[in-house]
Amino acid sequence: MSATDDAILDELIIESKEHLENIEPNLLTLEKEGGKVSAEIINTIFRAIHSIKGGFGFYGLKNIQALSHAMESVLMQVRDGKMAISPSMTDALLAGVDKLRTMLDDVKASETCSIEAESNRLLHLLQEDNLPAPPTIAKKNEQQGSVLDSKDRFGLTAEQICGRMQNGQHLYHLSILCPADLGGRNRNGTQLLTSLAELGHIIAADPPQADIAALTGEEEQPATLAILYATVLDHDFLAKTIGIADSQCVTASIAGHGTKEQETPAGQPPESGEGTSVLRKTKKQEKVETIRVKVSLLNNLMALAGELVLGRNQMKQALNRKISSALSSTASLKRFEAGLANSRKVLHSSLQSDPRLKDENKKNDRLLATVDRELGQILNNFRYSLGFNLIDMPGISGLMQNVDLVTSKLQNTIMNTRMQPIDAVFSKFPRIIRDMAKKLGKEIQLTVEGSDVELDKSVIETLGDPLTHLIRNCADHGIETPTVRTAAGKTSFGKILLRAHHEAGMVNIDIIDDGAGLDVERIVEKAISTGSITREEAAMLTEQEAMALILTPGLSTAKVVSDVSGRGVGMDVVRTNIEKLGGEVVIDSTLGKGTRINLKLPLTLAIIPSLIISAGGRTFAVPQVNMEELVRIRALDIDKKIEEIQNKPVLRLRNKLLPLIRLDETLGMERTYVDSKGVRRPDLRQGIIDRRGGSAGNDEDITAVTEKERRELPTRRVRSANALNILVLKVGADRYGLIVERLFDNEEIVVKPLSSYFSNCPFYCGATIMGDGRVAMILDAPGLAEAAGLRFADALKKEGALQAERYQRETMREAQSLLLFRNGTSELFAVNLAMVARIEKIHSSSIRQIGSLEYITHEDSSMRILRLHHFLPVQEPASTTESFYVIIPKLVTEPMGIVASKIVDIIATSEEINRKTIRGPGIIGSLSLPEGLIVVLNIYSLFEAADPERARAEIAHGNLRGLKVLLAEDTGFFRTVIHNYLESVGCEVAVANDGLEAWEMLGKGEYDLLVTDIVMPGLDGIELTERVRDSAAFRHMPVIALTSLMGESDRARIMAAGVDAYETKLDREHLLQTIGDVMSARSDWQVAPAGRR
Amino acid sequence: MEKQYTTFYIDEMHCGIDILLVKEINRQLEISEVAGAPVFIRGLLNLRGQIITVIDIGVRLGFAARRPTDRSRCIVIKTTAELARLPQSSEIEEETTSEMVGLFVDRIGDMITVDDREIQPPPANFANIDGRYLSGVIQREADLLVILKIGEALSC
Repeated sequence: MSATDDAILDELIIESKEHLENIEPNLLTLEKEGGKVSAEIINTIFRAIHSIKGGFGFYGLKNIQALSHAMESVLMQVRDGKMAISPSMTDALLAGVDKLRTMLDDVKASETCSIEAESNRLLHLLQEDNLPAPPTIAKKNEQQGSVLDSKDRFGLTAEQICGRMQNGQHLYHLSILCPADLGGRNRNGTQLLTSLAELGHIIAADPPQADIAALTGEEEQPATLAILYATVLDHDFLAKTIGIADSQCVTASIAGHGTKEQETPAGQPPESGEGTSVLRKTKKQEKVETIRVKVSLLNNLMALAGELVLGRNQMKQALNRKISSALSSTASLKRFEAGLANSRKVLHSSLQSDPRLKDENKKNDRLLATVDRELGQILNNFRYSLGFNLIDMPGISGLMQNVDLVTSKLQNTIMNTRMQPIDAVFSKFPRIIRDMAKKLGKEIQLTVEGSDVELDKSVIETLGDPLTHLIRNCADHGIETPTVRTAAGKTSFGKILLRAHHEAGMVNIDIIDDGAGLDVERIVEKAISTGSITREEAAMLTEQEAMALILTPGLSTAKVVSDVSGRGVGMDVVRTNIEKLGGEVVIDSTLGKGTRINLKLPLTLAIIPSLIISAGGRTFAVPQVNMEELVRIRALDIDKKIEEIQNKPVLRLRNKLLPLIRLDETLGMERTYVDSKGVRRPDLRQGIIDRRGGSAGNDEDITAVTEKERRELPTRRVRSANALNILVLKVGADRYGLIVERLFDNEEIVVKPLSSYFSNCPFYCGATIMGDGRVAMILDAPGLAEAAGLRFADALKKEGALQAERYQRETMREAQSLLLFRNGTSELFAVNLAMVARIEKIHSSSIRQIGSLEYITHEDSSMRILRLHHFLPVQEPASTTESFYVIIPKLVTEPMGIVASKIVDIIATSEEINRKTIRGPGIIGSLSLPEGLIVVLNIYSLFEAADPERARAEIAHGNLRGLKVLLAEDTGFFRTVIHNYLESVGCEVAVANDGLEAWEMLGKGEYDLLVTDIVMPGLDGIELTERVRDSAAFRHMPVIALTSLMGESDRARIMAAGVDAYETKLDREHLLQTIGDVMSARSDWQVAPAGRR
Repeated sequence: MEKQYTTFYIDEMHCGIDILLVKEINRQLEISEVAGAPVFIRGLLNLRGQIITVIDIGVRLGFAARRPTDRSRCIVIKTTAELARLPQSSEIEEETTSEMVGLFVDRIGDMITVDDREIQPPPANFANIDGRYLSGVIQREADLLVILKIGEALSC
């Protein structure tokens, strides 16, 4: 067979496969609608099978031809109404379709393939109905074609006839007898024309069509209707189809012209006409012009576009470098000019002012002139040489922008060529569901929505298996048998909805059934029995978590492993496959009601937007689809925000525990950090929290601090290089934090597959070439988690709960960061760092005195400053210094600055504040630390002492005197501070150390208001509130929740629990305001309900 | 029959591979190391938009990792597909790899033409190198040339 033949055969195979794709849904419709099915559908199937038969007959592939012929024969009987549509018939036809598909997969082998079973089934159908045996394939009983003259009785030229024919059509000359072929066959002229129009089209007719339409078929006068007819049907079928004798149908050819069929490859389907609109019912709109392109060609284009993107990135970088160097050259030129002008001035003045040179004025002038000239020359030379650097390419950035835009568009367009409607996967499910329903004795109605949603070819290809598995599962385990369903009061048929839709740049696929739902208990039992989880762990699972268990390996809840599902693909493989695509699987189910499985998938894979990061001096790319957010923790806050559970660091992010891993450590790189001088040094600290202490690295760090830096000591550890950059990555529904060194830009990177040498490196999913030409690895979020042996938040939460008491008491004692300072005496003072907005260095000359009060200007407005010894019983400094610091607090409406002579340090301590030894207004208490005895200031009461009028006004506004408040707070510091706030406005405060204690106290005492922390060991604030709301006695008790950090979801949860309001912990004024609002809204605090007071 | 060998040095060992297997010799050595990769992988190299894996063949043979110097080179090996397209493909006995791979070597030696018959089987336990990776040795006046079985040495 020649190469051209091969190519044509390939084309034929592809077309035939498409035909088969179309036949299948039509057969299903046929089965469903039975006798009511429209003739169009039968004809469509018929035509498709017929083209397959014709095409392969041409190539002498007898098996394919024979089988399609057998199918065709059956279809013909159906079409002619000689055979009823029956399930056994559609089964036989579907089996034929399957066999044809198999043979088409390997045409060369099709001749050795047995088609006996399938053809026998079909032949059996024919015999059953006592039909004559189908004609043998070889038999060709076409009439000798008649050659039409260029001018025939229709008065058409050959060109005109050709012009009215379409590719692949045959031309026939029909002679229809009236009334024998009309009235004799129970039809009139119009009906004849309609049936002809369905199968092809009439090129010419004599008498004209209008006259034929007017025939009743019962005319007495015999007449012969001559029709020139074009159709794809071959001779045998045409005669049978339109119900005339073979002899009345003559194949016509045009003198001097071959039929159109001969000019085109055999078996080409009609490009338009009635049939096509049925074939592609979903795309009924205008015809889209298409050509076939090899996928490999598209892949090449894609790769080239990728290279182009890289080139563009490189060019951009080069241009930016150029621009910045030009900018710096301009700056240095300016400096140089200024320097020259300055030297010239100095020279002038020194020459003129030097008395010794006075006498030699003339000589000096000459000298100056020379110098001027020389300097001018130098400047010009310098300008000239810089000029090369400054070559200003006019409009270059505009050009670049244009290139940028076009490149992006090009890339998008090429990417779009790879987009395919998800129908490619969805279309096979109706058949699968049908077969399964039959096999399992169930009734299932499958609805498919959004099959025109487009996805990248590679995504679609990977999606096939997992989706098939899910659908099979749905039909097998989800939908119950009709008896069970009816007993449960449901419709006897189960419904499955398969739906694809776009959402937030991702494609969402839902598989929703109204079946039995997941039996969570059984899943958990199974998980315990297989050892996936322990009984203790199981006890703590939420329903959602329990459902997610079926995604773990080795779990199948089906009582009977049927041959239908479980073909080697488990739900864990589904999850792995989807996650590999950067997607996510979410399961939601109600026992007895049904299950909803939601898949989220990215649109495309090959070019992915990524964040470029570095660790250990190497560059990496992190696909954005894996990324949830970026968290930056200042060095100062590290102790506060990062905790350790079983020696594993976790970040408390909006009240959720986020396990942390270091990228450098996970990849087995040496841990390094960049010191103040930009030198990379090994990092010797033990853990992330270990920011201080005597490690070599940090000692050096501190000794390297210059005198100037030392003066700004508070910022010592706040150097940005020491802050932690954390990427919050998601793996399915889990999240973890990846600590990296630096963050760079977002870039669109081209993914290059990794060599098999890296098969043992799960943490990479590919490589890419960066703008600078270097190769960077693309990190794989699930792989990294796996490599780090990470246990996810759920696991951590469980552990955390098991050791809740210890852990919460020890690590949750919210280690306080205190700012230590002096006031010109040996006394040490401290304020909570969380309350400090900033520290300013002030010169005494900038203080303005108004009356006895002192003010400075801060952020364009006046701010009063306080000297501690004026308000507190502390020593007065012996002398005032020229410059000092002012500590400016936050969370205060009208802040006043606190004067400090020296900022000593920032310390973290979880020591309880001693409220007994040192007390007084403006003081919370004292702390005894290695640094010495520290007086901890209460900024609010200090301000009150400084400005009693304002404080009084506030109290009057709140009118909270005598309010009985129960405060539940487990953290000593906050307990003390909030206690103080409340007391300061005259509330009677009772304190509970945790939620449970608060609950007990509620039962014993009488309170007007409950103020509770959210995060507490044992009974937390939300649970406490829920308990209060559920109880008969306290249901009306106002509750205010206090939080330190919260996100939207927490907010919602807190409000849902039934609190009246929530407030941030250290915001005194808001808290008091809120209490006032809540209490006045609930008038019952003034008039206490009977029985409570 | 005479055969031509591209030769190079691993430490002081003079090694050779069939010249037909060599695609090009590259001195641009901006190799990006890959953390966590097997030790014999030097890193990845961007060769005109293609990423190739650079292998320290010395480590494979049991030497310490190479230190990059001015004379370090990367010998890019043809892939199996590229070999198959060669007109002489029938003469080549060796297999290479399906992916683009480069050999990181200390320096390039001369191109040497050798008669088949001069090749002797490698002495047992030669220089403590795993015999799998050697196809033979050639005794020359100045030194011993070690012919590597490159496909074997490059297998994962």
